[in-house]
Amino acid sequence: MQRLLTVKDIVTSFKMEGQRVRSVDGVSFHIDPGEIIGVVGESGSGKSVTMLSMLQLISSPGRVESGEVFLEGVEGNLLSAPANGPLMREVRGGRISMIFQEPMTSLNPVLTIGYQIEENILLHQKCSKEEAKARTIEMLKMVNIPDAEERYSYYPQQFSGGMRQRIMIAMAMAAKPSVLIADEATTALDVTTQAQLLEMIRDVAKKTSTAVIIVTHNLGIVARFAERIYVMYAGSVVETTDTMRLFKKPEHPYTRSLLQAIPRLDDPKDRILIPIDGLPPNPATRPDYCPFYDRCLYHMDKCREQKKPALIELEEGHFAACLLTEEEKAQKAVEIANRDIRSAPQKNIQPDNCLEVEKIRKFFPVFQGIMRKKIGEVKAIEDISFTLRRGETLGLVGESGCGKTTLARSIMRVYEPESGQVVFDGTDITHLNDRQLKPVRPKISMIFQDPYSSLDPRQTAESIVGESLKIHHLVQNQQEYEERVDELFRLVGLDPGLKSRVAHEFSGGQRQRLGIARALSSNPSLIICDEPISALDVSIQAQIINLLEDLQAQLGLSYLFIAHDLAVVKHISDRILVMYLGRVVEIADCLELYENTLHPYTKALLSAIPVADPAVEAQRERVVIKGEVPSIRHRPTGCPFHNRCEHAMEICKKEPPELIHVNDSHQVACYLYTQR
Amino acid sequence: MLEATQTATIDHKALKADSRKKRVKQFIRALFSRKIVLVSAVGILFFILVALLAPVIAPYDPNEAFFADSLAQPSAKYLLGTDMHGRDVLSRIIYGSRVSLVVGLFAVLIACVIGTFLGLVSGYAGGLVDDVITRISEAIRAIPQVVLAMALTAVFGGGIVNLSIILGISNVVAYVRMMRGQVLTIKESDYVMAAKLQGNSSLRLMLTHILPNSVSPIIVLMTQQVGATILAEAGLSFLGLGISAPTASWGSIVNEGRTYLLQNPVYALVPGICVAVLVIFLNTFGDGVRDALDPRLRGDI
Repeated sequence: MQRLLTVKDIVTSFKMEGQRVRSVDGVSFHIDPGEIIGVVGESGSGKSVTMLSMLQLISSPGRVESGEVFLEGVEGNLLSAPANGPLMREVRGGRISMIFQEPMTSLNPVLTIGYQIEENILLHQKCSKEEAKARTIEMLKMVNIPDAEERYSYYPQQFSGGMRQRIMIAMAMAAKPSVLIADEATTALDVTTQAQLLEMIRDVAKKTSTAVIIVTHNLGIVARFAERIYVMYAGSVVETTDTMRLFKKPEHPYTRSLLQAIPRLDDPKDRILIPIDGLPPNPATRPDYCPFYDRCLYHMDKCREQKKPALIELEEGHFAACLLTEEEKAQKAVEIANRDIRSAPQKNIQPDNCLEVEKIRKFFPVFQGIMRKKIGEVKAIEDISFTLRRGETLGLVGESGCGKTTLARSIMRVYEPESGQVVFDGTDITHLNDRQLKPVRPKISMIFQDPYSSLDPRQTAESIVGESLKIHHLVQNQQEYEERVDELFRLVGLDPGLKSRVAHEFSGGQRQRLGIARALSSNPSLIICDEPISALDVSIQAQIINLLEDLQAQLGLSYLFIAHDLAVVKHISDRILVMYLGRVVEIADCLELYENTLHPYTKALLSAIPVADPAVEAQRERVVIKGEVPSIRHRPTGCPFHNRCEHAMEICKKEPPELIHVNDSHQVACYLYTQR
Repeated sequence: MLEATQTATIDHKALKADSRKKRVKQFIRALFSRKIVLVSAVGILFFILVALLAPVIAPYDPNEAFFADSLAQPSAKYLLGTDMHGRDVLSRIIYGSRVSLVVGLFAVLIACVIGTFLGLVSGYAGGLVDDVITRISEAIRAIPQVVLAMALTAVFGGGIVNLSIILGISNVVAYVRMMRGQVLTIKESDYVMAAKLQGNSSLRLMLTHILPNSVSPIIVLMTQQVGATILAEAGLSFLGLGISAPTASWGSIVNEGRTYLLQNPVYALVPGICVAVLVIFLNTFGDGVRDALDPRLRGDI
């Protein structure tokens, strides 16, 4: 049978410092009409470059060295056609379309969205302008854009991120392509929006029998949506099979390790993450032998002696690129299981509160005109109350724009709350001025989301970590300073010998470790972690999570852990606080929240998170959430969630519900539970 | 025991000094790893040497007039010919380099220091301070630079030092604006927030975190302004407000030579070329310094 699209042995190299470096090293895959395949891999594994190579979109200093691409209905090898010739231009957008990651920058801001979609139709289909317009509106309706006729003449900035990504999909699908490539298309979006969009892509693909390639680093997404999966590592496919089999019986050591390293929503609370040691190889210095050798738990001497293994068919339709035989792997697996595994760190939660937040509000004024007249205010957070015990981790979950960061900054006293109280260690710090805050500062630290922008690029690692030691006179002399810095480096698992380097000479994971060392330097009792792992690669995330847990057990720290990834939050937190549009909707003990979810929003949020296991995925109940998160400036009156909630009642539209205790460890703000 | 701790402290100090030395070495290696930067550094050094050694290398007294040979063509006797008063052009250029270099570099340095400081304060403090500084610099910007400089010279008088200060002050605004823009973006970055949460005082925050991260465009601007300043000095001298008559400067030689472009083209062209070459050298050198200072552009080591 002829495949819709067959890609054979693509090799793409980039010129780096005088030598050619292969970033894609012999990747093959195929796809049939209507099929959805997933390509998973960490950043730098060559996923996107493979897709771009296929469309001949690699520009200098990159070059597609060799390979073949066959598309149904096109004579011969696509890669031998001239890169900007009529054939390739017809294929791009006409036969194979692509959606990119960043919806905010992939639409042209000076053209209406209608024009941009129509342009694509006119280029690839023979039709008149009127027909093209009709088709555009039809496409907009297909991707569920309300008032499509009117929105036709809107500009991109009049839409939210999720809407723009829908428009991108409409644009990509407009010319009836046979293959749609979604390159991390939902990564930048919120979880509920992400679920909505992927469901929609799946429906559209099945309806029009378009083949879809989902390129992502998120194993949960492919488990839920893809039918067949290609796992990529260091420029090669290491394993491929159908989704069920991959998750049930992963064969390649990399896939096995990856599945052990990621936290899952359905995990038991005490699961231990087993991180993959080391870093993905730098393509310039990648060895000839198996690229995973250095990080592989199963490695044997023969792996080093032979060339990089090719994909071998283990059973029908299941390929893996590993030299070990079945018996050898089984034997190694026993060996690995017998090694002493790190036990879960013992938490020590004290009964007294480290932090008490009582009904705090923070409003930002909105100014207009040259006289900067105040015309209103944005209510970023309203009536937030919670407590955090010493040694405890409180997870703070919510979608972007719900006020998580504002809350964190109000606690750190970057902002001064309008009303309410922040009590830290028994001291009311709500209205202290800078001078009065100075003794409090070292006690509250923060770990930032982006390890690339949160370290001063001009300072050495040593001065980044040691800065607060000097500011707060925590050391007596130079010698003590050096010793303390070395100790901090070792505490977070960095070699003190690296301390004279500057930030950019470290990898992402190492930089995040530096950020943690900086946070620890002043002996804090509370650390606010603002999405500390979301910018890191999957295989690195587990290392950082484990480090944070160990440090907590060792030093008795309290964490306020902010994240949008509920699986991670569940893994690390003792209690979880869910926020929606500046208000708390639910606070509960971790297990209680997952087993006895009360608030409709929390239910929808949990259901939107894909679990990296297709068997579990198939059985999960879906709570569909309609619409998108409204802008905080147009927050609905009453309960902020009422316009998206299927249980909404009259009273919900009038008054925001109070947070009430359902039992000792569970609070919820919803009228469904007040009547009882 | 006590001795042991002391040696350890000394060792640490030595280590510290060592690492600083290593960083300086690293900086110099990064700076001169590009041939063109090395060439410009040598070029700049050459100009400075010429200025310093003017009395030794100049063949004649720059102000000595050989009326018999006025407007002579270049020859073995007068390498670049003579001007209308019969003064040796080469000697005048060599002596002129003193005035031009001093005024050019000194004025730019003044402008840069004042402008960077004001821009830093204005961008960091915001609010009223920012409003006042921005409005004043906008007002200054509205006056043409030469007119402003003329007014200032009329009040304070000419001379090399005054001229440098005046030209410096009339250039300040460019630095204020550029620095303010830089600070506004860098102020918002995570690492500044992190430093603030560590308990840094505002002054420390500005000097150790914001300033080093915002100097790159300032360095480039500085090197570009040197040429403009040297020429502005000529303009003022031409109007009789700068250096008084017999003292040579590149700008004034260009100005005088302009009239005799047909009789002796070398007369006006060579000092002009000197300005151009110096500016090119300074520019390349500035680029090199900027790249070598920025650890991100230095590449992995």
